[in-house]
Parts: sequence; structure tokens; C-alpha cells
Amino acid sequence: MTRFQLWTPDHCQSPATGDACQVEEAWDDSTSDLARTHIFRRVLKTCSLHAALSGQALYDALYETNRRKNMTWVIAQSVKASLTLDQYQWSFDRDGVLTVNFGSALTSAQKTNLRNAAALQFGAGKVIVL
Amino acid sequence: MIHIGPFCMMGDWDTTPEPEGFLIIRMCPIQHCRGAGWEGSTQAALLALPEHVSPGVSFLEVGAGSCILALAAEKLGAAPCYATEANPEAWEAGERVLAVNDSRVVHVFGTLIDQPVDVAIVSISSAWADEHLAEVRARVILVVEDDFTVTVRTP
Repeated sequence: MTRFQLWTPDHCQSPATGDACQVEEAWDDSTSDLARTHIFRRVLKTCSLHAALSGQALYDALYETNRRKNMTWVIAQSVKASLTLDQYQWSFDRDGVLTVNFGSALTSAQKTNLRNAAALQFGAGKVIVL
Repeated sequence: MIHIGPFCMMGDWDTTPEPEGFLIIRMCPIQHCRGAGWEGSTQAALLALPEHVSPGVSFLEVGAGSCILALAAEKLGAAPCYATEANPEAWEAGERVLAVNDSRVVHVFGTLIDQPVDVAIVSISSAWADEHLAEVRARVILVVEDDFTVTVRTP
């Protein structure tokens, strides 16, 4: 059965003030989690950060950046399992480059490991580790 | 780059000299798909492979994602090598990774194949292995368990 949901990404310009995108996506709940993909349906609203994009291109960008943000957190936990989510400071620029900052919670060597792992996962220049 | 056992994973954009003495696996961006080489499960599997894979051994990676384990087996001399993947996005990521490595791994969309092999590796979940092990046609089956240990199961 096809399911629908409205998604407001947390990495838009300012979700707290309402400056956030809102998209509708669909998926087939008869498909297993391992094989399931989400399908773009329509854009209801576009935030100021993503104003240059529309339609499928906007959805693809939101989907990819969201997953990159979430997966970078998973990678960071593989580097240091004791990290807590409040230590994960992140932001995106207008080109979709993710900058992450764990401050003193990670050593220089751990930051290098995170940087290398993120580069292998997403490609060079997609994740900046401060 | 990441070094795990005899393997070195390098980005396909990385022009630094390849380190000597390592089997090089080139990675192109796979976005959210599994198998870039940093995961505990992948690293455990990469460390286990040399003990079970040697030249001429036929090999299967079930639920391959990036196909990194099939590539690693190929680098160890296994042939033929098969990799299966049922998720369309992950399958496409695997296709790209195989292409940048100029690999001869047979990439199958799906979960299981009819062709029996000498060694198969399953890195999906312990529960999946428990439920489907009998369907994997291999003489030796390596299972990457949920705690990142690698167990050897004979069907």
C-alpha cells in the first residue's frame, strides 16, 4: 500500500521560524525496509536557503543533504562511541557543503578519521570537519 | 584513505600515490549506502576474508551494498565473484564502485543466486542469517553478526 507523508527538513534555513521547506513523499509499505525507497510527490513550500531549487531537484537535494547529515553522525559514532548528540554541531552552506564541529570531544586524530571516512562515503569536499 | 588489514580504500578522486604492499580498493561516493569501509561490520569482514579466500575460490557477497567485500575477495584472487543487492539505490552505488575498480564481479539485482560457491559472506544482520542461511548455496558461509564478530556457519 502506498503511504504519504509531509516532510519538513530540520536543515532548512530556519525551521523554528517557519522558514523551512515542506515536501510530500510516498513509499510502498509492502516493500521491506532494506529495499524501500521514498518517492517525491510535490513541494508545498520552499525555504530561503533552498530558494534556487524546485520540484524533483529540490527534493533530491533535501534528501541527500539530510541523509549526509544523519550518516555523518553515524560515522562520528563509529570513531568515538561515547559521543552524544548535543556534541554534534552541524550546518549547511548554500552549496550543500556540510560543516560539522565536535569541538574538544574529538582528538585531532579522531577528526582526521572522521574526515577520511566521510570523504570515502560522500566524496571529497562534501563534509568539512572543524 | 582507510587501511584495514591488507586492504586500502582510496577515493577515486585521490591522486596521492597508492601505498605499497596493500590491495587497493577505489571508492566513489556511495552517499547513504553501506560499504564505504569505515563501518565496524565492513572492517570485521575485511579482516576475516584473507583466512577464507584464496586464489581460485568462488565467492558470493549477499546484500553487497557497495560490493566492497566482493571486490576485496577479487583482490585476494577469488573467481568467479558474485555480489547481490536488492535495494535499487544500493545496487546502482555498487555498479559505480565496480566500474571504478574495473572489476569482473558479477553483480546481481536480488538477494540470492542459484550458482553454488565455495565461500559466501552475509553482512545484513544476524536475524537475516538465522532465517535464510539454508538458502545460501555455499560450502562455507561467513556471517557478520550484529556485534561485528564474524562467525563461520556450514549449511
